[in-house]
Amino acid sequence: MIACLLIPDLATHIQHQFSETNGQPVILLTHTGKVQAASLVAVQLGVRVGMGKYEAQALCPNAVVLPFNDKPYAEVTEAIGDALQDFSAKIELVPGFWKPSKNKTSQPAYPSGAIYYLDLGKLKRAEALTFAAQIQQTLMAQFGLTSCVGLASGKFTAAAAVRFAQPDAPKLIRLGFERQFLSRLPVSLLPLKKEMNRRLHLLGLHTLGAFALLPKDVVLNQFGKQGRFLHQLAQGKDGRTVAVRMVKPQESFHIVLEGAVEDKTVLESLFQMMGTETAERLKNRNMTTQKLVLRFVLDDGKSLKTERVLREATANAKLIGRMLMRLLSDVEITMGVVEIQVTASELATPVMRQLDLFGTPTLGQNRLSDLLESLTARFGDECFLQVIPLDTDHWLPERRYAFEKAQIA
Amino acid sequence: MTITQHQDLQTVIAMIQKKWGAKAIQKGRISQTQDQFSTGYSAIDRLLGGGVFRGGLIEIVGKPTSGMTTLALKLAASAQKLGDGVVYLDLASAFDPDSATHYGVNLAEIMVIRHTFEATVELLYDIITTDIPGLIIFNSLPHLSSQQQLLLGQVINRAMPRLTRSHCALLLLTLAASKRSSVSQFADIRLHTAFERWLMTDGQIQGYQTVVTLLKYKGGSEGRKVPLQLMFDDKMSGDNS
Repeated sequence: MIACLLIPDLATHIQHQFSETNGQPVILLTHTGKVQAASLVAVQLGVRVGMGKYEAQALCPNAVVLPFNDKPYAEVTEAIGDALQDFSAKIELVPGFWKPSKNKTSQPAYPSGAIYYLDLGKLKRAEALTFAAQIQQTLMAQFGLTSCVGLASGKFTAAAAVRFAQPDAPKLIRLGFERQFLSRLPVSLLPLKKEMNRRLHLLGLHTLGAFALLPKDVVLNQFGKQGRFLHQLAQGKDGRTVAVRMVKPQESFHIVLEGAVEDKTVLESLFQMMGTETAERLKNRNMTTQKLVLRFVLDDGKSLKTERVLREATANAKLIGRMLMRLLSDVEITMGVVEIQVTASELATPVMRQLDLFGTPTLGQNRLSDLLESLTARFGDECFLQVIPLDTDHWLPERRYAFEKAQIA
Repeated sequence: MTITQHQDLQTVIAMIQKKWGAKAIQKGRISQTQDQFSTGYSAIDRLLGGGVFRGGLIEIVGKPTSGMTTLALKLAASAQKLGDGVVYLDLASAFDPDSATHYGVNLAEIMVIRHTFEATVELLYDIITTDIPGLIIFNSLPHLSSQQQLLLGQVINRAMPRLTRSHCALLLLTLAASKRSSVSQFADIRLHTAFERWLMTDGQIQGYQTVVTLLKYKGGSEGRKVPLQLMFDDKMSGDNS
């Protein structure tokens, strides 16, 4: 069973979060000034993707026009992917938005939306519907997003089904009924090229059912291999699988505090503890981290995030603790903290280093040793010192290094 | 070279040596060591014609927190990279291993010497005569008495002929309010560092700006100033000499 999850207004929803739009419709522009995505309200008023900025503004005068920002969109889609990971390991995000192309025929139905395919495996009808409802609840709880789910045996049918789904009612197409369901739908649902679309309409084939009725040899002769593939889709035969989502390994540690904590000393001791815990977990997995992300949730619900990339991957508890302290100093905390999350990402296995078993002195050490030998006879050996590292991470500077009598190598 | 050419050359050499002495012509030799240490700061390197030369006496004069020690530690790190040992004569007992590590100094290749003033000055002479370390840093006391200044001047005067022939550079850190000191006359290069302002970001001190003035240099450019931004996270900027 394949689930097609549609989040109809994702891009504009994200934009509402990052900009002060006061709930007005949003039109997002590409760098060339064309409409990239638009709120559903704007779409209903006639705004289409690829349209010029002024034309779109004329159609929807109270819309807020903003440049499209990739970064928060990528972050949120990735976070949604992480949340969906609990339901299936096979998750596929249909990439990107509308891009201007001479070959493209149809407008996207949801110019601001995102579509995820999930392979739910073999599920019975009732189980699949329960699963779909749980997915929708998760998205609403974690991201405040409304979503629709279409369920079918193939990706194409599921994508067609999602158009008839409601946020509170997933649409399920039973096995064996795909062709019947698709038959009345327009051929424009297929990813047609401009020329094929023109020829289908010249032949009077306006629905998927009419196209599906054509003999496969005729389709092959008329439209080639691509036409044959589309013909199979129209017949409800979709053998495409959902790709397995690559998950970057990371270690996350999250604590919810009993009350809002404002005292920096308390926060610092918490970070020490979280640093130790994170390091312990990394060591258990035989991993090191090179990136630390710290996220706070403040008492007013506001979320603060800061991150730091380390020069070298590490699993050292003290070093991680110190990095967390630095991250803490990066952010300005104006209210009490209620939640803290530490994420160690960009994990890698530790790099092995050859130990210097015989302590071969370097050229510089050899020279200093020669010097020491020539001077000790006259001045004694008390005044010649070498610095020995003790605990370089110790919070007391005098405990980090010791000055000891230099010795001849 | 043919035999005739070789004979002609020998004749010419013999004539010159007869007239001007045996040392008038000497065989050249290719130096195996790099002759300069980088200060770790390109603007100052350019000012000094590539860095600090071996066999030279460099004096840095300034007040505390003006970047003298930073420059010294950067030089020490450069010397270590070339395989040289570094000796730090720490009269003020101010050597900080944390800062040294921060500026790239390998603590295993630095020898710290702490003794009385008189013994340290004698040690300085002996170390120069051994010609073993690549860089000697002499971190002087904040206030030297006139006797101590005289003694230091005498020792430096005595050591200068050895120093110029040696492969090591001597760096004197003089904490002084005035730009003059007892060893000024012997120094090949004299730099003056002066704290200018703190560098703040969002109310936090991230570093400070100091101005390095070239007081004395045989290669010219005396009086030139270089602003130096020393950040606590070891990022140096302000390369706008």
